[in-house]
Amino acid sequence: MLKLAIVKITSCSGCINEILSALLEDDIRANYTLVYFTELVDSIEFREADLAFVEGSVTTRHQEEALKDLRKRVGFIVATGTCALMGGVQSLRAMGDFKPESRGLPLKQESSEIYREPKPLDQVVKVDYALPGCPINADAVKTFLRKYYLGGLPIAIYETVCSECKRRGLPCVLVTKGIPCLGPITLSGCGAICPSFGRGCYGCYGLQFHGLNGGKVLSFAERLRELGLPDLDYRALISAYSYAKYRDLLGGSH
Amino acid sequence: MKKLMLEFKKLLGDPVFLGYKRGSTIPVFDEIRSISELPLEISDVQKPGKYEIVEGFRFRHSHSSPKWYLLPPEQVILTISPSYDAIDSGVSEGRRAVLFGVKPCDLKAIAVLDKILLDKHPVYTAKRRGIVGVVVEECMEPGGTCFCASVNSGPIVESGFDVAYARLDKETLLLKPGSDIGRQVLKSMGLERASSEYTELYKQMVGRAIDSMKRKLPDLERAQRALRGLASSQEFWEEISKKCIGCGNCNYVCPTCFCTEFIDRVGENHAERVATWIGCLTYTYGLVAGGHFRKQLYMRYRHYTLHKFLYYPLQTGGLLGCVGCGRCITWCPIGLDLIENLSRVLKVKNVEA
Amino acid sequence: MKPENPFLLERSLVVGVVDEAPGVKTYTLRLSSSYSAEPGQFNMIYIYGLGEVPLSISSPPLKRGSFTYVEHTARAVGAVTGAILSRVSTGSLVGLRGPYGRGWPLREAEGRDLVVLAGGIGLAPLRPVIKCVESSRDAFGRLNILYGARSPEYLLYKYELEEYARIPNTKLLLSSDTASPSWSYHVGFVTDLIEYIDVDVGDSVVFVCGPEAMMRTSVKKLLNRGFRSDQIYVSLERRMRCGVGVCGTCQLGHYFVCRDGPVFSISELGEYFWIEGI
Ligand SMILES: Cc1cc2nc3c(=O)[nH]c(=O)nc-3n(C[C@H](O)[C@H](O)[C@H](O)COP(=O)(O)OP(=O)(O)OC[C@H]3O[C@@H](n4cnc5c(N)ncnc54)[C@H](O)[C@@H]3O)c2cc1C
Ligand code: SF4
Ligand code: SF4
Ligand code: SF4
Ligand code: SF4
Ligand code: FES
Repeated sequence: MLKLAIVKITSCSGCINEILSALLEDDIRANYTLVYFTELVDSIEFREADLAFVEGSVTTRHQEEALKDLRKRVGFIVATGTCALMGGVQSLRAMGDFKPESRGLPLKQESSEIYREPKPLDQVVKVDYALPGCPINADAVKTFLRKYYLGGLPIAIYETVCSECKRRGLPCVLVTKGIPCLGPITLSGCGAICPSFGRGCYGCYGLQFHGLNGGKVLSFAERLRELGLPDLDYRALISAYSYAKYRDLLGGSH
Repeated sequence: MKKLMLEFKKLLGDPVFLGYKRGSTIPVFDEIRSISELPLEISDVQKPGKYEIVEGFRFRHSHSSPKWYLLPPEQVILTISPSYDAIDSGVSEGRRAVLFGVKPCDLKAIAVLDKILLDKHPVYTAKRRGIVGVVVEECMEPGGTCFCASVNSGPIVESGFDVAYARLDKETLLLKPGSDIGRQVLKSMGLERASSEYTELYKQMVGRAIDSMKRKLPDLERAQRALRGLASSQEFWEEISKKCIGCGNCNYVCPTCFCTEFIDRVGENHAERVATWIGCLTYTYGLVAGGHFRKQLYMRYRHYTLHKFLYYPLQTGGLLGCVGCGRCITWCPIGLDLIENLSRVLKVKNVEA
Repeated sequence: MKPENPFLLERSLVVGVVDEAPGVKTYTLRLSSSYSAEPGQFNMIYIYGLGEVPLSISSPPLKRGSFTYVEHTARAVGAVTGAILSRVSTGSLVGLRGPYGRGWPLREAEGRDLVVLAGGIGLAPLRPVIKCVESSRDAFGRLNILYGARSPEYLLYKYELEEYARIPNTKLLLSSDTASPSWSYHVGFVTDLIEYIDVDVGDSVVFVCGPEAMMRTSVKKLLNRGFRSDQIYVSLERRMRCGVGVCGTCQLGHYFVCRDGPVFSISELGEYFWIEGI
């Protein structure tokens, strides 16, 4: 039996739902036991675990410290969801006029710095494996848990949503309808859900940043502009889920 | 057309028909159950990064191709138990099938895949061996991104088929046999020999079709020599691939791209080994534990181009890996143009010479 | 007609495991007696549910009774090799298919001198070469074995390494990138040892295997020492999925490394050997 913890920081619990549905599989239930589940308690208190899913991005110093402490007690950390990998939707605030301030949180009455730019997990602790998605996909969790139990991991494949779209034989919405679609620069994993409903990909699995640079992202942005998206819209669209990577490639917005 | 299908059916003992099938949106390569499923009353408009279906009678192709059947996007190659017993060898006999209304470039693409995969790849081999008849539609009006004439794979066919037809206009078909089966089929259809009026018209239309293809590679051999000379120029490939974002669409739509990745799907008590398409433009291609053999996108873009124009010929005994279908140009979300790039190859070389 | 499926696996039993170095072990596998392989070829080893990895055959296949035994030396670097090192032990089963690829041209080496040059785990595919030369010693000329690792503990086959020096007409040169108290051999890169090669340069062949950077340096130095490019062979590594020339992932220029290699002469490789990422 492997000890499993589910930890949540700044996030929406959508990924946790997917994890729970994976945990309903008989063979997975037989091999893993839940030692901590964030939704049921309000501080990260357990002695140790083999494996922890951490959902969300780091938005306060308090969280950062809690994670560093968690790292010491957990053998293997899975950064769970696009928030944990690239900041997630909440990072969009960095593009607005959010003012970071240090003040007491009403609940704990202790001072905690709130970050303007939410941090992906790997800026704070060592991450052993990454599951992208907003939310992640229960099938990917099942695959991961089964392979982890067998002593391995899923083979790393870095490709775009277009790969899945094409393998499904879907007609490309960008090429056939001129709909702005982020599939070409978004990590695969969702199975091209949005294009299968005839709409453009929103990039919720995060920027497929491997092999990309600022110039390439801009050449794609140029294409979105041709399709009629104004400047600000394409920036917001591309950075909506993956602000942290977007910033790495193109610099901040201010 | 209906007669043609019927005759094949009779002669070959009720095979399935495979071709471009009209669906709710864009035709995809699939089983054809009746003549009404053929895309006979539509045309496609193709431009770099743009594809549209309009009314007409000149359907060429879509993102789909016979590759979807012969080397499907996902192939289960083995189902295995935790104690390493094969539960299912994954390979079954290919269905007896007639390719119906495929294009000259499609046919050439199959010839290319044959050289690489036939009798080596079990899934491809099974399906390919099941193909008992081939009916080709020649292109009297090539599509907007087509350049098959430059790479010797269209717009008409000379061999490798049973029957080829050309649509001289919406109603008139000119048929030619390419094999004994084809001759037999045409004979039992009771067709007359075409008058010289029609054969002349056909010749003219073929000439016009060739001229109408705006993308041209005037001198393939020179382009190949130039590519050879440029293989080591990082600067050149970085420049050429500057806009490419490595999405892989070009690989997936290309009718000759055959690269696959093997993954294991683990269930509760067995695992499926699945081969899935992977594109050499995507980051995975060349990735190994602790390193990467093609880490930069320009390296992968270079491999794609060189594979098509230099390496396939060495792997297939002379056939190019590009059949000039233009799919990679149409379906590239950025609209990158392979032929424009090749023209740049020639220019760079001119400057240097 | 149903074609044969080349991806079927032979179930094989692990009958022995030896610790070689940190994260490296050698496994002895039991196969059916019909199995045979040439030095330099590889097998695909499958771990249930996780995937396959190409591993060089690191001993000449040994027939005993109704079985054949082969060895594989594996280093844990990723998903599958990690699972091999942490989970596979004596009595475990693994899936195997092979042998694949074109191995070392031992024929070519017959009657001539032979240099074996290896870095780190690169000795694995060359060990069968050494064993073959040893068992038909008269067929070959002088043998030089040059082998190095980043530190002495990372050398493979430590239990037999020094015995190689006792093969008649053989010179063994070892190196370690870093010094250590008990180390009495060269401290520095294995490529430094190329200076001390004492074979008939005009009438010899050289087999090289190691990390790609080490192979490039080696080949440059060997060419400088007067070896011709058709006398130098390297064994290359690439991402490999099928092993039989159909998945396309191992391509290097127009070669399928799995089928046309993994062993190539430098003259066959031409510029492919030097252009990064081709
Ligand atoms: C011809 C050949 C012989 C080899 N011989 C040996 C040997 O004797 N001992 C040894 O320890 N290693 C050897 N390797 C390297 C070994 O195959 C890789 O270390 C191994 O595939 C890594 O897989 P992984 O699943 O652990 O890593 P991951 O990074 O998780 O790999 C995922 C998948 O990618 C592929 N892959 C990743 N790295 C490589 C690689 N370097 N080469 C080929 N495919 C790769 C594999 O198919 C693997 O299943 C050899 C490689 C080749 C090509
Ligand atoms: S619809 Fe979007 S995801 Fe699909 S191929 Fe087109 S651009 Fe890619
Ligand atoms: S490279 Fe492009 S034009 Fe050539 S065959 Fe492939 S998809 Fe068609
Ligand atoms: S290497 Fe690239 S171009 Fe060549 S077949 Fe594979 S995916 Fe296509
Ligand atoms: S489809 Fe276009 S952008 Fe995508 S990988 Fe191919 S050339 Fe690059
Ligand atoms: S490993 Fe598949 S072609 Fe070489």
